[in-house]
Amino acid sequence: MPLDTTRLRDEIRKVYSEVVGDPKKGYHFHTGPEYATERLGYSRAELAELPDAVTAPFAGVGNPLAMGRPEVGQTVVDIGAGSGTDTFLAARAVGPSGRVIAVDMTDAMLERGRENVLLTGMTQIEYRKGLAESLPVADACADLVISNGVVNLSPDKDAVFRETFRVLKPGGRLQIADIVVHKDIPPAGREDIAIWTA
Amino acid sequence: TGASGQRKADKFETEGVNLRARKP
Repeated sequence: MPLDTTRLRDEIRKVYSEVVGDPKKGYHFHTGPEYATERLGYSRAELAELPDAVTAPFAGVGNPLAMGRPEVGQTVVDIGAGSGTDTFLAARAVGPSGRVIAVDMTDAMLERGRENVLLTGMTQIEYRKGLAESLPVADACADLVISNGVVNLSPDKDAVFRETFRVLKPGGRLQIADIVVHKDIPPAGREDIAIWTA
Repeated sequence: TGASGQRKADKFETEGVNLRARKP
């Protein structure tokens, strides 16, 4: 039976909605600012300056902004932004004259992200509902595209990279943190939603 | 983390990566 992508996305939404409500529950991935600093090289001081509502649900797998920060006034697209740890760090870098478009498909994350924008007053951030495979973003508008632990959850990774290429300006950069496998996953495994989400 | 995450990591030789690229 082919992968049911609708069900897959529903299951992913369910997991990440739980992360918003109970970030310390214990998942098959780490969460929170301690993990981000201890394992992934985030700056403890920078994370401490962000509200807990931003950093507690952090569930990234790497550190996309460690590969370079955007400049003041630039436009960043964060794919699968979640509660916004990378989003808000990028927003601090681009400043009020810049822009961060935070895309997520999970309503609970969008709600939390928008609350965090109000909480911090960082109105250069705009949360938009959408999929990584069909970004709600105009062509060639981004200086930098970031994502953290998102592409591995996409059933159509080629589409994610096509969309990333579309929204980047010429000379724009892609910086993603993600999970890769070195052993091929057999077809039965690819169709098993538990392999994707648990 | 957790038994499930570690099991998958062992089974499929999974690792985390930071990747970058530049559009021409």
